[in-house]
This record gives sequence, structure tokens and C-alpha cells, in this order.
Amino acid sequence: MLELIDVSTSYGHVGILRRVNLRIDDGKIVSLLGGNGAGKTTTLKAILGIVKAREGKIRFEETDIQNWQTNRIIQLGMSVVPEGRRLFLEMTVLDNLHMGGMRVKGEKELKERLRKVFEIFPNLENQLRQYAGTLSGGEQAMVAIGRGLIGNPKILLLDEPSLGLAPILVEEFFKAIKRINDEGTTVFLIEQNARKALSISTTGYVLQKGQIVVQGSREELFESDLIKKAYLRN
Amino acid sequence: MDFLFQQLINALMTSAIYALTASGFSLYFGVLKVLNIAHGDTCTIGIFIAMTLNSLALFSGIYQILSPGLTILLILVISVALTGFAGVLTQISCIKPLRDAPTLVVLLVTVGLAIGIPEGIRLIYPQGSNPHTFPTILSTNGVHWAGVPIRYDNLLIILTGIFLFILLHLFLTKTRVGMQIRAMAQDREAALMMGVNLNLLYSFTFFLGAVLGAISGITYGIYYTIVRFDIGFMNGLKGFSASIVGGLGNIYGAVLGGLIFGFAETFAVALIPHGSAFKDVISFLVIVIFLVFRPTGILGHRIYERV
Amino acid sequence: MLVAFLKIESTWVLTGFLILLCFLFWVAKKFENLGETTNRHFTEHRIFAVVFGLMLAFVIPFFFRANPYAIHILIMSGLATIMSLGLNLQIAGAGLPNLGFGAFYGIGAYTSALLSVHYGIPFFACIVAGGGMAVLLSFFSGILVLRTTHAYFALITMSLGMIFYLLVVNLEWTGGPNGIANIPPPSVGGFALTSPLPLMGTELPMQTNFFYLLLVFMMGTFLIFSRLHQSRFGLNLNSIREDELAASCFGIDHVRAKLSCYCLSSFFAGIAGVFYAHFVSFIHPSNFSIHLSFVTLSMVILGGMNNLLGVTLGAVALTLIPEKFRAFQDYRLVLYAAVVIFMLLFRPKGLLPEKVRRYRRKVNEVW
Repeated sequence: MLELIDVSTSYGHVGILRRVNLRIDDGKIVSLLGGNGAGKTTTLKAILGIVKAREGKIRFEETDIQNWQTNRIIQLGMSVVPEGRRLFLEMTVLDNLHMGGMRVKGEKELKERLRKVFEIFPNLENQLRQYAGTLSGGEQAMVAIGRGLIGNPKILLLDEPSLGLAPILVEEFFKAIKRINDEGTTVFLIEQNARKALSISTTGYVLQKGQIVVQGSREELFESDLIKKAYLRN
Repeated sequence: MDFLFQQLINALMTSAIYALTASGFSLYFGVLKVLNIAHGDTCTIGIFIAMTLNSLALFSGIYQILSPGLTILLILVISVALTGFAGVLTQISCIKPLRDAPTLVVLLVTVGLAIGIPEGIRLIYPQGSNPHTFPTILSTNGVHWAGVPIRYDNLLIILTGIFLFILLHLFLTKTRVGMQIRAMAQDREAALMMGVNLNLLYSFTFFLGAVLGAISGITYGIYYTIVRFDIGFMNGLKGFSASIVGGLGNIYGAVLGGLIFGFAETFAVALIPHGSAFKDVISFLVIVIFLVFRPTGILGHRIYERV
Repeated sequence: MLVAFLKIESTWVLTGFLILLCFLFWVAKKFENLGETTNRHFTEHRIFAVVFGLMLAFVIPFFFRANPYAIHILIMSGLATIMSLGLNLQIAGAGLPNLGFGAFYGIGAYTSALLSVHYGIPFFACIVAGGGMAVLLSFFSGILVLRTTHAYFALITMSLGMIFYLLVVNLEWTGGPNGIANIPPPSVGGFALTSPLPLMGTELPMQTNFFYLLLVFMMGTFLIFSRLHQSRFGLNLNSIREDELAASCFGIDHVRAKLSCYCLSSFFAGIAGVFYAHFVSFIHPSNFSIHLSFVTLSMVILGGMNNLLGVTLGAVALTLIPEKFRAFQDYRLVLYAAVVIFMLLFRPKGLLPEKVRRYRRKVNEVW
């Protein structure tokens, strides 16, 4: 569904991504792993058109989107849960959810989508009038994912969703992501928590200094020496 | 007592004018993080377009064809709309290319515009350097209330001001576009990631700001009746200090600032001898004091610098 | 070429010349290296350039002895250069966008005018007084405003500049809207500078006296600013410009550095103002409005941030060109506004790029 072919980006003269090749198939969960500064968020931004790819192609369902404006790309059916949640803190939970639903046409459709979100995160229904800034980290994460879901995306992009969450919540969230995928949404997961990410993914890529150094199915990655040493500790 | 009441009316009038200009500034800064010094000139543009249209209407006899009331309304609507488009034009040519440039560069460009636009108006409009009389479009009659005469146009202005602000508030809180504008003000990149069309919103915000400026300008024209090509600068700066007082980026702060400013200025002029010469100095002193000691204004947001 | 330019009278030729300039500018944009090359040439042949420049400057009045107004314009561009160099230190050196710089020019002018008209204080003492007043006021205002940054600083300084203008226009003892007239000219050893100068067999118009005096001032200014740019102080300022927090982590007392820079530039502005007052003998508040600060700003932006030569070029160009286009006199401010907007949109660094510091031989060897 989503493909990156030889994508390179730079910040001024400094190269960030170097000839990155990624492939995310329909209905799968694909993880992008890597340490800090590897370029994971830049990859996300390149997909979304926030950062322009200097070279290479980005293909979404047979369309080349590497030069498109971000809002057009979103219209195609991508939703994002950005790094650090990036909720609109001075707006209510409901408003935040509505912001995610800009693709949705019509009041009825919107209400239907909201209901679906509440199925996965029932607590949200009670917090609709609260300002997003007053919520706890875990609650904000729920809103963020809900905001991503409400537009009924074809693919959901998540950037380090487990960052800053208490371990017990982390468990909850990965379950929720798996459930979202089971219901048909393709998921592209950017994570540092390799173990958790791989546990639900079909395939994975490892990014280091802007280049893909390891890629493969979940099993292959679990076996790989690199992953074992760097990320899986034992 | 009469004197007090008269001053009260004056104060409300000036507050309305300042508040309108101030909300434009707050809009630009809050949403687009642009300090648009040239905003005051949207007032002038609005005024001069209105005067031009008025002359045209008189010349072509449209006043005879349509009723005077309708003509005036048309003139007002068209001048406000045209000013809005002028704002969009400015945005596209001068602000958009500098979207990622430091705020300072954008500020300098707006300073350039603030100096260039009045000059342009002066050169284009016939006899631009001289003061002109803004056509009295409303009758100077009024009512008497508690023994004090209140002119109809004063009343209209105050009511318009209030009405507009309620409208603005509703727009920002209840509409989809308003929500997008608020989102963009809080976190531009996140709004982008939600699929907000940045270009469209930029243009729209400038349109809105320019419209507010035009209305402010026309209000000024109705109240003071004598206009010059450079009043936009002064008016703009005063509106700017009003928005700083209330909190840059905060529309409600702009209203508050406008009120404080309008009242302070009116009563200072009335009570201090030779006050009128120094009322401009007051405005600038206010800017300096607030920017040094409380740049976020009374209601403003905290400005954090990322370490 | 400069001489030829000044002698042109016909509007058509001038318009053609302007078009030629635009074309040259476009060419320069195409070749980014041109700025670097110019820089390098001037650095390498520094001594030659300075000597040649001085000789040329000395000789110029002889060419214009029939046209004193031309010398007048050259003097004005010299003053503009001093102002621009000062502003350059603030904006490009330390990152302080001062939109009220013209006020210090005015402070110098008014101080000196008042002292010499009311108390008969001689010119050279007035220079000290005017400069001193500028430093004093900049010190106190600096303490107040230097804590703000960037855009806010620009706004504050603009407001301060406007306050100065409004005070000067409205207060009685500054002459109000009529300004101050009959400012006595300087005299050196009994020789009043308003009398023609007999030199080398010909009699040069009186503007020449001011011209040479200004030349001396300018040499001093150049020397000081050039040394500052090269020095540790300049380096400190640049680091403050880049990142104030990081700079203070390196032990730079940014308060002191910024204040010094602010006061120093204001001193030069004040001196320039004193010179101006005694040169034209009549000052008027409208000379010192925000337009002045803006015009100085446009010179710095055009010329090149933190490049002394560029800034000079900008100052001279933006003083001479509007003068020459007398027919378009009305459009002066539009020109300046257009320059600022255009440059910021397309070439914010200015015509000539920032000069890299020259380090002593010894340091180079270590590297």
C-alpha cells in the first residue's frame, strides 16, 4: 500500500535519510525501529510531505505522492499519531477528535465514527468536554489514537506512541493497536521499544543514521544479531 | 455629569476602533505568528477605497438609481471585501515565501509595507497628501438620553463593534474553519498533520484580519471625519499597543486592551491640560513598558523559549 | 564612474542606468560567488584600496568645485555610512534589530544645536556633548530594553524612536515643530568652515571643508568598526546573535556585551547627528522620524549584513540614487520600502556576504 523507494532527504547540506526503502503491505503492521536521531520521525515527515524528499519516490496505492502538499496526502486516507501526541491542549477532547475527522463528510458519518472510537476507548466518552491539556499522559495517548482513527484511515501512522507511558499502559496500547489492525486498518509503527513493537508486527525495518540496516519478517528480526545486541538485551 | 457621560461615549467609540484593530493584530500573531506592523494600513486602504467608491457613485449617479441606503451599504461591503483581498494579496506575495523565516525578517518586511503602503496611497490617490473629509454617510442626528445627546452614528459604531465581536467569537468556536484556525494557532505542525490546508488558512486569516482592519478604518472615518493617508500607521500602532496590553495572540485580550486603551486615552485627554499632544506618547510608552515587563499582556499566553 | 554618475543630468540616461543596475543585480544573484570574490579582492588588496580610496576622496572636491550640491550629497552619504555602520554593528553583529536608531542621531543633533545656539559652546565640545548625551541615553534605555529579544526588541526600539520624535515635536524648548535654526558652523583656529577653502591654487566651495572634516571622522569610524569586527568583542557579539543562551554558557557576559555594542553605536550616531546639525545649520523634527531609522535599515539590508564594505556601498548607493532621480523625489520612501521588501524576500544576506574573520598567521599554522 505504501512504498518508499530510494528516498533521501537533507537538512541544508546535511543528509538525514539516505536511500531508504520501505514497504508496507495492505492490512499488515510494519515497524520502523531505531535509536534516537536515526531518522525515524524524518521518515514519517517525508511520507507526509512535511519534509521534501530530495531524491526517490513515495508511492501510496499506485500514486506518486513525494511532491504533494500534506493536506492532499492526508485526504488520500492517511492518519497520524505524532510523536509526543501533539494534542491541541487548549481545545476540548471533542474538538481534538473533530480535528482528526476533517476527512469525514457529514454529521451522521462523524457521529458513527465517534461511536467506533468509543468502542475501543470507552473512557473518552466521559471526557469529551475536558480540555486536552488537563488529561494525564495515558488519557492523552488515547485521545491521540482516537483522533487518528476517527477519519477511518486506510493506514495509521504512529510515531513512538508508547513514549512516556507507564508500562502497564504500554501493554494496553499495543493491544489496542493490534485490535485496530484486526479490524482492517494498516498500521505503520515507529518505535524505540523494539520488543513490544515486534511482538505485534508482521515485518520490521531498523533505521540507523538514516539508512535501513536490517529488515525482514518478525521472526527474522528476532533472530538477528544486531537486534539482539542493541535492542533486546537478552 | 453630562461631561462625564459624553466622555464615556467617546471612550467607548475609541475603544471600539482600537479593539477592532487590536483583534486583527492578535489574529495575525496568534494564528500565524506574524507581527504585522502593516495591519494599520488595512484601515487606510479600507477608508480610501470607500471614498473612491463613493466618488464614483456620486459621479455616475448611482445614488439616484438605487436608494442611498442601499448604495452606502454596497460601498461599505465592497470596500471591506476589496481590502480583504488586498490582505490576501499581501500574504501571498510577501508573507508566504517567508513562512519559515525567523519572525524578525517577517517583521521587517511588514515594516517595509507599513512605510510603503501609505506612500503608495499618497501617490495614487489624487491630492493624496492633503487631508480628506470622509463622507458623512449617517445623519448627525441623535437621541437624547438622560439629557445628553448621543449621535446615531456613535451608537451604531458601538453596537457594530459589539456585534462583530460576538460574531467573531462564534465563528472561532462554532465553525469548522474557526476550529482549524484555533488548532493552527496552537500547534501548526500538528494541524498540518491533521490535514489542514495551510495555504488556504493563511490566506483566510489575512482576509479576516484585513476585513477587521477595514471596518476599523471606516469606523474611524465616520467618527473623526478627517482622514489622511498616514493615519493607518498611528491607528495601527495604537491598536497594536492595545493588543499587547491585552495579550498578543488573544482575541479577547484585544477587546480588553482596546477598552483599557480607549478609556485611558479619552480620559487622559479630557483631564490633563495639553493632553492631546501627548496622547500618542502615552501609546508608545505603554508599548515599551508592557514589552519590557509583561510581554504576554494581561490575558496572554506564556511565551516559553525552547532551551 | 562615480564622478560620471554624479554629473549626469538627463532623466533618460538615469533610467537606463537604473535598468543596468537591476541587470547587474540579477547577474550577481546568478553568481553567488561574486560576493565572495569581491570580498577576497578587497581583503587582499586592502592597503592599496584604502590608499587609493583616500587619494580619490581628497581629489573629488576639485572635480565638483562648480557644483557644491554634489559635495553636499557626498557628505550626506558619508553621514549615512556612519549611521549604517553603527546600525550594522547592532543588527548584524549582535542581532539587535534597532528600529529606533535614528533617535540617537537626533539626540546628538539636538543636544549640539541647543548647546551652541543657546550657550555658544564651540563645535568640538559639542561633539563630545552630543556623543556623550547619546551614550548616556542609550545606556539608560539599553538597561531597560536590552532584556527583550528579536521582534520585541525591534518593536520597543521603534516605539522609543517615535517617543523621541513626538517629544521633540511637541516640547517648546526643543523648538517644537519649527526646529532649531541658525546653528553656528564649526571653526578651526578662527577659520569658519562656512567660508570657501583656498587650496592648491583654486578656491573650493565651503562644503569642501565639511567634506574633509567628515573624511577624518569616517576614517576613524571605519578603523574602529573594522577593528571591532575582527576582535574578540566582535566574535562575542556574533555568538550572542546566534544563540544568547549558549553564549552565556561560554562565559560571555551578554548583558555587558550588548550594552557596550548598543552604546557604542549610539555614540557614533550621536556624533553624526552633531555633524549634521552644524553642517546644515537648521534642524527640524521631521529629519529624525522613524523614516530615518527605516532608511538606515534599508541601507544595512541592501549592503550586506556584517560586511563593512557592503554596508558602505548600501549607504552611498541609497543616498545618491534618490538624489539623482530628482524627478522621482516623491517616490523616495517607496523606493526604500521596496528595497527592504525585495531584499528580504530574495537576498536577505545583502549584496555582499559576511566577511570571514582574518586570524593571525600563528593560529593558522596550528590548524
